Amino acid sequence: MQSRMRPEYYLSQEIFEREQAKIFRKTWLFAGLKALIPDHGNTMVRMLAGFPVTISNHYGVFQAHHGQEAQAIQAVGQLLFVNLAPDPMPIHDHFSPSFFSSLESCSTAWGSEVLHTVWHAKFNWKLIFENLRDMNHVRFLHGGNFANYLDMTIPVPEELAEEAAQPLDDTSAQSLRAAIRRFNWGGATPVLIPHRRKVPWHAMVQPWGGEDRYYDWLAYPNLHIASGNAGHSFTLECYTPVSPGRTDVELFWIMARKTQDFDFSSQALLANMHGSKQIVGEDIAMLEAVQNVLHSRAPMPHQGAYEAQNRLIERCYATLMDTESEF
Amino acid sequence: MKSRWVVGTGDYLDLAYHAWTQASATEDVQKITVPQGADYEFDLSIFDTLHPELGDVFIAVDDRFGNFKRMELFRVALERGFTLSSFVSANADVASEAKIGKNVFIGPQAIIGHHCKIEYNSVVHAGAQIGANSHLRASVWIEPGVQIGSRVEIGTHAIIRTGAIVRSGIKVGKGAELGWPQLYSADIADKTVYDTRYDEPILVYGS
Ligand SMILES: [Fe+2]
Repeated sequence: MQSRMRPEYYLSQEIFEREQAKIFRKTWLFAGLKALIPDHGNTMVRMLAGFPVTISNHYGVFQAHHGQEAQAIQAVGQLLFVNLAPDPMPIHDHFSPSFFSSLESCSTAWGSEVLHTVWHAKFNWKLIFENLRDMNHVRFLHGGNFANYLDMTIPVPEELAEEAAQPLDDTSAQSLRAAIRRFNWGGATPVLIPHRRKVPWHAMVQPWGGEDRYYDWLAYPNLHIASGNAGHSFTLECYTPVSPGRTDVELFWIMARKTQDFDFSSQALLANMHGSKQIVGEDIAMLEAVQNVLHSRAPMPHQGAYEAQNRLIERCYATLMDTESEF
Repeated sequence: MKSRWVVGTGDYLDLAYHAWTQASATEDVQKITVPQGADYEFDLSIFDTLHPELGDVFIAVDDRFGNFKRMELFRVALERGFTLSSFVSANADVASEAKIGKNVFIGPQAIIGHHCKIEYNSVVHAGAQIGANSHLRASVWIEPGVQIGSRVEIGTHAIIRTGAIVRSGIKVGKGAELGWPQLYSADIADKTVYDTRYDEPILVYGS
């Protein structure tokens, strides 16, 4: 199957502005964690859709402002989401009730210590979503470590591939919202962790999920959450488009809530972060190489049935970029 | 002859063993490796064969896990009644009134200024310079050639890597890691990590 993604979607400044207006200023964006501003009077500034947005804690109520203007904000457990639209879509139009409650459930199980850093990557933000929804990449790209530890191949239903091959006939806001709602899913994956390395602190926290399983959430357009150690700690990746060829990849690590106090938790999370630095570093290097060879007359790639999830979101994306349809 | 058991793991164990061997003609210096399992836990059974009446222990584990692994063995040895004397190289220049805690290592050509305080289990490698009136808290790791100004305070478990220069009067928070080779001229918050593999420092919020 021919991809719907034209090279200009990854290269053009005009498309970038259109994405900022039609996706990032319309949808609910991850805007940080409550644990970053835990006390009354704490504030943080987040770059959302190209604007600095101040998030503040006002006696436990979280508020978002761009300049003097209040913006819609919604707490989902520990997570904060902001919508910059003048008339924001209801959050359940973006997150299905089951996705919403899964996010709420896992993030409520988190502790209050957060590690944070940023990598300045040289690729278009969409490449990382395409990569995340292509589980086959794990075995080819991370053969050295991750793939030996987890079998990430997840079968794709045939109906999905067939549906993704059809054009999107209904281009109403409702239909487009339904498309991203399907793309946001998460929780337990079919991937089991057969030989979880048991480190002592695992016994000192209350893990989320209750199974030796890989957990994973994707909230389009800017958040990915994963737990590769069966819910004992979690990584959050937030993607902030800077320009067509630049994306800031923010990385957070957070532990499930402690059941006893211990003073080396930040070191345990730092070890987690160094591990993900290696794995996500492999992704980033590959995506930067892809971005590097893109040019306006680059051939359109072919996609396999396993990329059906991506094809569904790409169908919605192309509609947004090429027509006047809106969320 | 009394024994000097240099106990730990890795390259730093070798380094400490050779330093003790060169320094003490009157002791039987032995190197003892403590194995670490797949879960990184130490096998402590080696301590059952050592007795405080027959010798002393020096713990030599590097900065792994934010110096917590060295601290772990240090506590075990302390509980078992060992004195845990410090090692100060004969070629180091240590001000006479500087205070040096238990199990501290000070390498050759290190300079420790007057009225410095270096708390237990800290390591100051070869050629590092610590300015006058500075205070290193417990279990700190200072790599070779690091330059630290005067009146500097370094929190417990902090790591300062080769190439770092810490300006006088600066406070480095506990658990911080200064790994970017540069001048640090502002206070560093607890647990902040400057690691050369990263584009930006790693910050820790909450606890
Ligand atoms: Fe990957």
